[in-house]
Amino acid sequence: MKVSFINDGFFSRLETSALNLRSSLAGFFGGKHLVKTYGQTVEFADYREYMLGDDIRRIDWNLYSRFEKYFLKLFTDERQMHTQIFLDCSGSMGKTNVSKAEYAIGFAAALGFLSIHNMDKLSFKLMKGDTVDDPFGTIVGKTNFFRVVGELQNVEFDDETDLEKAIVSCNDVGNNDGLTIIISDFFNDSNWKRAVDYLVYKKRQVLLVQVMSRDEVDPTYDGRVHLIDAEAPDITNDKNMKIRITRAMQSAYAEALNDLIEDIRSFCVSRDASFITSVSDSPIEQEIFGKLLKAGIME
Amino acid sequence: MSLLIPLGLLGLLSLGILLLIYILKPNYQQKLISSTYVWKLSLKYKKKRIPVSRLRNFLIILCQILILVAAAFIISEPAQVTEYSPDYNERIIIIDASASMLASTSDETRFERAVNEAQALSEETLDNNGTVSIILAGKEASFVTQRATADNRTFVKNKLNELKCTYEQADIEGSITLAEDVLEFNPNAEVVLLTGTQFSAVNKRVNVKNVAAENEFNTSILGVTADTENGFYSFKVDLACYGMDKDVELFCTVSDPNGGSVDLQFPTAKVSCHSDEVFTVVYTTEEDPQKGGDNVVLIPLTDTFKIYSFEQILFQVKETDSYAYDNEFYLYGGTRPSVKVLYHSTVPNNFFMGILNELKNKIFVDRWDIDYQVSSDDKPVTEGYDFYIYEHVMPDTLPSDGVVFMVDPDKSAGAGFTVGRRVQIHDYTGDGAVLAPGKEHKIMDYINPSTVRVTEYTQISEDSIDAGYDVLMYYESNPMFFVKNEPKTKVAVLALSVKMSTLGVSMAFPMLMTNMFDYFFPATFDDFVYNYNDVVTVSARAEQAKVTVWDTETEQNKISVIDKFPGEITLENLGTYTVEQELLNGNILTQKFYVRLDPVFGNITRVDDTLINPHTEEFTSEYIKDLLIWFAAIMVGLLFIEWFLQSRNGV
Repeated sequence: MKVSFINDGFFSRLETSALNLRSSLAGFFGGKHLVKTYGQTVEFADYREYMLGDDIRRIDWNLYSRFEKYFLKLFTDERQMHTQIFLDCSGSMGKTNVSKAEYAIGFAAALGFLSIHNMDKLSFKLMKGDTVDDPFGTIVGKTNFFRVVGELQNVEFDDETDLEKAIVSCNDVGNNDGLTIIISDFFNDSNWKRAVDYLVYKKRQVLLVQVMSRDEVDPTYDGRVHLIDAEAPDITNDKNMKIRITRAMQSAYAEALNDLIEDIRSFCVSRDASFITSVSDSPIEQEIFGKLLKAGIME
Repeated sequence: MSLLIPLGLLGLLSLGILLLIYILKPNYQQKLISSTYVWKLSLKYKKKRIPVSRLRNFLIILCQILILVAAAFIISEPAQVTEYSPDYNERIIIIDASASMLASTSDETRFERAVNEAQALSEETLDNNGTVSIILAGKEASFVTQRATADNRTFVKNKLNELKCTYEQADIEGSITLAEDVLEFNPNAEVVLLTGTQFSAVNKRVNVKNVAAENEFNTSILGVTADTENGFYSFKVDLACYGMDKDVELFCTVSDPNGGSVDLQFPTAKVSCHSDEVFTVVYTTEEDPQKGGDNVVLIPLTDTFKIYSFEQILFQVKETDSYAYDNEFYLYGGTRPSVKVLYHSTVPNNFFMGILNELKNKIFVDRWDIDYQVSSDDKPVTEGYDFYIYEHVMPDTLPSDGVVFMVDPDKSAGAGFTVGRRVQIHDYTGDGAVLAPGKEHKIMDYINPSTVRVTEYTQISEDSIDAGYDVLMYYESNPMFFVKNEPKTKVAVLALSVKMSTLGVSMAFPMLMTNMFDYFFPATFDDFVYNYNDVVTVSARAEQAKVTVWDTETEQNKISVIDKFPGEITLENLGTYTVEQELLNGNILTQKFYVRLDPVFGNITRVDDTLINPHTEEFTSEYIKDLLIWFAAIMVGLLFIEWFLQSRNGV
């Protein structure tokens, strides 16, 4: 699968943007994210009185001349964050709908680029079944990133994914060191809320990205339909269903989908997580510059 | 509504196609989607709307069916066919001549009004150069005049003037049939029925004109029944007042009560008749009578009014009503003629006395007053009785004033046979000891001679028996029982002893005695009240019977003689019939019965069933109003509703 819109032009448009992560994160040394702690950058932060043991070279002598007290000049610290992108690789994400899979990969690549561009570390974690696969390891630097993105486009979407088990069982989710992005359609019975709670417990900033196709948002089919679920192993599986789709049924579907989205949104608000939902036929830049900015994830 | 092309209803077969479509509806189409997760969630939202959805589906199917039905009707070209009567130029006038048409007001009967109406109608028709047929619906329907034209005006008028009402039921059906004969010539002829009877349903083909007057009413004695309570008579009188709610007084006069000669007037019964209902007046001798019901009026009869016999009772209502024929009712039969019986035997036995008791007190208690005497004198009595039973010892000469029954005779006494020797049968248990049947006879009804065994009998040669006898039972070719019934000689002979046979202890004996009594002393007639024109069977003990009745037309007695019995007489007069016969002893037996009009005619407000429709090929013109546009509008409306429902359904 070759994602058509992942090219140099696509990434160059993102170069002017950056991820806006919480300043309370600890992160790693190096990087470009300003944090609450004081460091050795040139950006002034505050003054404090001199204490025994402080480096006397940092005393502000101008203030001493005015107040005859020793004050130290404090500067903000800049840290490197570790962005982890969990990509749902279940069948529902792209087995039957290539554009949805492309969109999800594109979204992951875009967010990953923003992270790399800000000198953060990046991990693509592919969720399939109950486990998480980390085939590319920690990515640092654009060269490495573009290589990974090229391979990312070969990911296959198949089977089911249990978001909760996959994320909770992941042994390197980090701790207070960056942003975790979960890209999925959230169309499964797994208790993904526990996974989010787990990440929040690990003091990770969390962003949920719901990717849906146009057909899923506004089904155009009707009448007597035997719906075959892309994740169903065979035609007799319980995931499949026979249904007579009427206008009332379509209304019920819209209502159910809306309730599902609102449920995710309200849960994210309660956990200080961010959430955006996106439809695969809308331009990806528009979604990134529009919804991510609005959500405050991007600056 | 009519269908001009009924074959168009074949379009209803499309309903079958619709059904087929529903049965063979396409299967579920498979659709591969990313996830059914949201669809399953949506089912919870959908379930709330299922009842509405079902109702809508039902309405859609209903609409589709109605659309197809409407389409089929449209193909069939529905139309409203309005019949309109053309101008009549011929009339068929049927005049009801039933007895209820005798109801009168202001000295004019319904029948007279009907005749006048017929006269006016025929005049009107003839004035327009039309044709008139007049049918009299009497006992049998008949043409008074058939298709008369203006040239026959006088003839028609005279014929109408000659018409008379009958005491019969009107043959309306026959009249309609006669009318059909005329309608064959002119199907458009107007049929007019002039009657006082109403019909629950009247077809349009017959124009019924009611000739009853508005203020008509009739107090009617519908019937009287007599019964006995403790040996005294009680009476039930059915009474009604039709056409008016009225207090009616019922009078009752008893002639020759209890053998006396002074008439007895019963207490007057006052009955509040209403709603055309039938009320029953009960004259009872019971001291503490029980109330009989809502429409029952009890008149207790004290000792002064207790009667055990009467010559005649007249019940009457003294009302000036519209129908006088049922204001009086005569009841006869209150005095039973006596029959004197002599049983003479050297040794009277209980077999005879027992059956005589039964005949007197039970079997013929309503017909005869049987008075029997038992005698064992040496010399049998031979006069003064109606029925003589001699057992073992016969008189020298037979009596001539009554019926003689000779049992085990020791001599013939000039009865026309020769008595032979006594014969004993030793093997009386064998097959040969039973009697055999002889000639078929009324006396032998219900009697099986083979149930009677004989041990001893008197041998009487059949050759010695007079020709007038009928041999009814034999024993080995010996006559055992033979009977003669001639005007002056009525003899029955039993050649065996009741004691020396099983006759006395078998059912044959009481049957034989009953049959003999019934044969020689038949009931003259079987009732005391008949309807006009009934046919009465008259029997008699004498050679002939004289029947007398007052003829109101000739105003003199009408006498007829019957000399063959049982004879029949048709009751063509109303009132009291007297039947007289001279018995063997020279006495005259007089009996009476009453003839009235059928009480059904007294109900002058009655409503009959549907009047039948005369069959005609064509009698009206038709105006056809096309209903196509309405059905089309209905179909369009249904299509719109179906479309609307479908759009709501989204399928």
